[in-house]
Amino acid sequence: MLFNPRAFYRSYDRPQKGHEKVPSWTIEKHRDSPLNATRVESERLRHAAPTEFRYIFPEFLPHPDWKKRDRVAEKLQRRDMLRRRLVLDIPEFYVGSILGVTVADQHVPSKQSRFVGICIHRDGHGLRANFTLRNHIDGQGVEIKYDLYNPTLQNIEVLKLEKRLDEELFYLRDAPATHSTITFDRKPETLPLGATVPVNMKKIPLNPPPWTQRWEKREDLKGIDLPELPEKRMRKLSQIVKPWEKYDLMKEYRKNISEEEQNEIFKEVVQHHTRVEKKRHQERLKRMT
Amino acid sequence: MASTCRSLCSAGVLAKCFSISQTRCILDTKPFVRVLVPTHYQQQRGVRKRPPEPFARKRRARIQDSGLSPANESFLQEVIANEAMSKVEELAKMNCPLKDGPWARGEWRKGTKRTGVVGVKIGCVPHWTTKGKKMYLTMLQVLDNHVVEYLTPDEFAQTRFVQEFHPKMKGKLGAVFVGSMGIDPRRLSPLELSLFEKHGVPPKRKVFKFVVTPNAAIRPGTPLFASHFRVGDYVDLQAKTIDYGFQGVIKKHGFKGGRGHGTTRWFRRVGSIAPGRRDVIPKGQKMPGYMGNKWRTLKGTRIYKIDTKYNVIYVKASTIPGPLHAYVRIMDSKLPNRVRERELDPPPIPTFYPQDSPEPIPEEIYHPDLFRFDMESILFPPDDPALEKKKKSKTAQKK
Repeated sequence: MLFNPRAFYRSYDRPQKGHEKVPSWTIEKHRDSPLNATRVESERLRHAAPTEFRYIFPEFLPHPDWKKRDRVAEKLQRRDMLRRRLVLDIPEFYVGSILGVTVADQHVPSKQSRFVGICIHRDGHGLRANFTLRNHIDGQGVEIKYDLYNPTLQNIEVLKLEKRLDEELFYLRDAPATHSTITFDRKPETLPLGATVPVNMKKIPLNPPPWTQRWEKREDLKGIDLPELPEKRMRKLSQIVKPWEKYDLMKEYRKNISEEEQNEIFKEVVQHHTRVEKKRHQERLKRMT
Repeated sequence: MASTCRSLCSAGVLAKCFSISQTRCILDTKPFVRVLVPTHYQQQRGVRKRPPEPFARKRRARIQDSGLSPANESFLQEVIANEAMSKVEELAKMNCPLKDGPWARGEWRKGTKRTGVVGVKIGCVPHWTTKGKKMYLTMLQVLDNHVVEYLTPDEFAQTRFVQEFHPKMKGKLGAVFVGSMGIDPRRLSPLELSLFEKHGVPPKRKVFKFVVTPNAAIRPGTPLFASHFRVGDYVDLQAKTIDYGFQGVIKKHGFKGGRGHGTTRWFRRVGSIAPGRRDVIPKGQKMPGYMGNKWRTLKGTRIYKIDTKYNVIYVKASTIPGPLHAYVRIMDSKLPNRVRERELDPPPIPTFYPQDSPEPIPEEIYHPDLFRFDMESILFPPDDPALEKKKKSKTAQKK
């Protein structure tokens, strides 16, 4: 063979040649091999997971970079995440949804504080999952970043479940305040059962520059209404733009986790779901009696 | 056609440009020459050669090149696996107190050093205390550890390590060699295999030495687990730092460098290396050089959780040296206050034997300060009205 994949991928480990570490592909091979005396038999789960789970539970998916991955670490994190989800109901939400979050706060007389805002960003894998809420209060833009699995979170309420045209809404910082303002006493809006999550096709008009980022360079952002910019600024765009990226299949492949692996991960979530439903059913029965 | 190709670009010329093993020049009847240029070729500047470790491995020919048919290969793998497992079972029986048993256990005395354990760094996760404070815990998995050898103080004194580097240890301290992770025995030379076969231990991928006092002697073949340590113990973690290769002075020593614009050819340079008109460069002057790949110790980290099913130790540290999947030597902490604490509440020596505990060992052992994710959400208690009154009266007095 002209192309030796093993030698090629070994080049990733090249700076660590002779280093005191186990090559990443070896550690997984050893864990599953019959030579491992402390082998843990993996449980074969029967139920298949629905495909929407990758969007509802994005933090369960691991980092796409294989050099940063370890199956046992991910498994232990998922176990802790599902335990927390049994205690606190973490709802389905997306960037663009409006949330109300209650947090235990020791610096306040009531020891609890509530913040309402629009979700502008969602990030992190496993227990590091976080989301950022933005609001405009008394003429001041405020953003708060919450750890999803922080035990001081008392309640996460989705006031409006919807999506936007983009996966991140940092451009709201350079938009008029009205687009980030949400009243604290907003009533929750519920969608009918079985409805798909609506996509808000709003295009945000930006304030005149200067901006926090050069939004004209971001060709991936569909939700912005760019104003008139000087010709000199627009001339540079032609040098920066990468029109071939949308045809780059390998880049797309490297960014995502394979479907087979996603299925294995979400089978655990399916188990958790059935457990949660059972628990809620028991609580309902208790309330009735 | 073929002759013109050869004259244009011979394999000899190419071999001079790149090392022969990395290039393959294919000359055939087609009118062009296909040449594989190694894209990753870079001059390798290595660390100074140091004396090899006692169990330094020299790899044999790769198993794929053994020339066996797939059926024979799979049969051999089965045989190897069965052999390894039978050895492990034998050793487990040996350490059972009923038959032959582990060696007589020593008594804990002042200055006792017991063996460490070989772990692998798996990852770093956020956890919270029961009071709501966030901290990062690193997970270290103790994979398949077995004691490979024990040298008594007299035997150990004859080694070069004691004679040349640590003569004070003579006669006082022994050595325990702990191996981690099984390896296919075909990858080891007969000499290396004999070292494992001496005590019937299945061959290991990596072996580390731990210096111990004679009262903490362990019988070779004893398996070591994460429960060798207890939750709340303090441990020292030793690992090799990330290898950055040859680095300049800004990354290696944190020099400020020059401006990006407006300077004449001075961006990332060292600057002055000696004072005044003297021609002497002081010893230890910081210069570019090889960065990383050094043994470093992180001392006094606390264990907050132990998972006995997967043999994972959660340690309060986010800056353990080394990349992901680095080998980490985990030992009882040498810090003086921690040693003093250990004297009052000694850990099990020489190690924790599963048959010791009367009840079944729980799968997860938590520190009482650590928030468990099946607990209720953390709520802060309301202010104590008596305390508030006291505070108010104090401020009134000040006014």
